[in-house]
Amino acid sequence: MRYLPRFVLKISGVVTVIAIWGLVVQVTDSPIIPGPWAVARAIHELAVKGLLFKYAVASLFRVTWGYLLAVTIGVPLGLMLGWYKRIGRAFNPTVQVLRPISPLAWIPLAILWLGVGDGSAVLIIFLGSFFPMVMTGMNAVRNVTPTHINAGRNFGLSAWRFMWSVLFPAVTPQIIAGMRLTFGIAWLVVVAAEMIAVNSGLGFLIVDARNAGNRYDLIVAGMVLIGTIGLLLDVAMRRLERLESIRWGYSTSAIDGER
Amino acid sequence: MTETRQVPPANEPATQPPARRDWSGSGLALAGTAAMIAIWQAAMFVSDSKVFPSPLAVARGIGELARTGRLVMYVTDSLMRVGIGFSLALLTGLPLGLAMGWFPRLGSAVNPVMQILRPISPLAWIPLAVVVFGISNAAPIALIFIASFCAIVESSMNGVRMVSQVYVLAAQNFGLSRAAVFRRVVFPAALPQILNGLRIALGLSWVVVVAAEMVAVDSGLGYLIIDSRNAGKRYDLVVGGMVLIGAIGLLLDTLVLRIERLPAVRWGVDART
Repeated sequence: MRYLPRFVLKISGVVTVIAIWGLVVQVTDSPIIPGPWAVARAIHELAVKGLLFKYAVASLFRVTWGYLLAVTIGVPLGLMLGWYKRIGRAFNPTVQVLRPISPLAWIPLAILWLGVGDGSAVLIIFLGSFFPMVMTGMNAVRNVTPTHINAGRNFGLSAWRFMWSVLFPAVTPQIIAGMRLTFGIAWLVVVAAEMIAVNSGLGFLIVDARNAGNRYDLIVAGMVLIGTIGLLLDVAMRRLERLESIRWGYSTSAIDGER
Repeated sequence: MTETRQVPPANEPATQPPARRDWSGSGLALAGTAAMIAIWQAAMFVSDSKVFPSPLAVARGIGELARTGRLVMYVTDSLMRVGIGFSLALLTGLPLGLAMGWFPRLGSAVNPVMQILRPISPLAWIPLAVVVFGISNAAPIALIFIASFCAIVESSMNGVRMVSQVYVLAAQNFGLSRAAVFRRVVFPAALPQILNGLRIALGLSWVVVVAAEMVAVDSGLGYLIIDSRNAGKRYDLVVGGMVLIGAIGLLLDTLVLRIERLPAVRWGVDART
C-alpha cells in the first residue's frame, strides 16, 4: 500500500515539471524555446536518422577510455601518495594546484598536442577524472582506521597479505564512491570537450544544432539525452556500490543511512 | 609497507583532516614542487618546443598580465560571476534540499526531476543561456547557478537523510517539537555533509565559469585562455591562465575546508558515526 503512492509521487513530480514547461512555452508562444512535444519529435528524428545511436556511442566511447585510464593510473598513484606520507607531502602541492584547473582550460593544449580528434577529447576527460581519482585514493588510505592497520601488523601479515586483507577492503567503498562522483565529472566534461574538440557526440550535437540553423528543439533533445544517459550510468554505479562484497568498510553507518 | 612510523596514533579520529595543512612548513613540499618545475623545464630543453612555453615564459606572461591590469580585471570578473551564481544557488538550493530531506514525500516528488537535471552538463545549457540572456554576465552566472544548485540540493538532502535516527528519536523523547528537532539536532548533524557538498559545488562552479567564459562572454580567466590561443597563439598566456585558475581554485577550496574544520561544524561528524 505504501509502495504505490511513492511511485505516483515520483512520476507526478516529473509530469508536473513537463506540464509547466509545455504550458509556459504555449503561453509565451516562444519562437525559440521548444515545448516538450517538439523535443520528443526531435529525439525521434535523431533516432530515425541513426544519429542518436551514433552520437551516444561516440560520447560513451570517449568517456570510457578517458575515465578508465584515469582510474587505472589515478587510484594506485593516490593510494601510494596516501600511504607513503613523505612522497604525499612532496607532491601534494602539485596535485592541489593542478586539480582545480578546469579540464576545459586544457583544451588549447590538448588540441596543440593531439590535434582535433578523439585523442584530445579523451585526454581532456582523462585530466578531468584523474585528479579526483588521485584525491580519492589518497584520502581513502588516510581514512583507514589505525586500529585495523595496527591489528593487521600485530598478526604479522606480510606486506602483500596486509594489502590484500586489510587495506584493500577498507579503501574499496571509498574508492567506489569516488569513482561514481568522478564518473559524473567525466560525463560533464565529455559534453564540453565535444563542443570544441571533435565533430561527433552529444556535445557536438548541441553546438552543431545551434550553429547550423538554430535548431533549439535538437539542442534540448541533446540535453534530455545527456541527462537520461547520465542518470542511467549513475544508477548502474550505485548498484555496484551496494554489492555486498564492496560494503565491507561501511559497517553499521550505512544501514543507518537508509531511512 | 611495514614502516610503523606512518601509522597515526590510535587516539586520533578516523576522519582526521588530511595532511594537506602541514605542507606550509615542510621543505618536502617545496622540493616536490621544484622537482616538477625542473622536469617541465628539462622537457622543454629536450624537446626544443617552439610552441609550448617554459616555466620562465609563463612567469613572464603572468607578469605581463599583471602590468597591463588584465590580471586583476579578469580575476575579479571570474570571481564575481562565481560569487553571484554560487550565492544564488546556496540561497535557493539549501532550503529546498533540507526540505526534501526532512519531508520524504516532497523528496520523492522532486528528486526524480533533480536526478534527470543533475547529469546534464551545465555546459550543455550554454546555447540556451546565451539565447535567453545574450552575451552578458547573466549567461555564465546562470550556468554556475545551475551547476551548483543541483550539487547543493543533493548534498543537503542526503545530509538530512543520513542523520542517525537515534538522535531524532532521542530528541523527540525529550519532548522537542518537530521544528526544534530539526533546528537543534538534524541541521547541526547534517552540517558537515552539507559543507562538503558546498565545497564540491564551489569546485564545480570554478570549472564551469572557465568553460562558460570560453564561450559566452569576453572577459575572465576562461576568456583569457581561449583568446590567447586564438589571437596569436600566445601559449605562455594560455598556461599562465591555467596556473592562475589552479591557484585561485586551490585558495577557494582551502577557504571552505577551513570552515569545514571549525569545531562548531565538526560537531555533526561525531553525531553521525
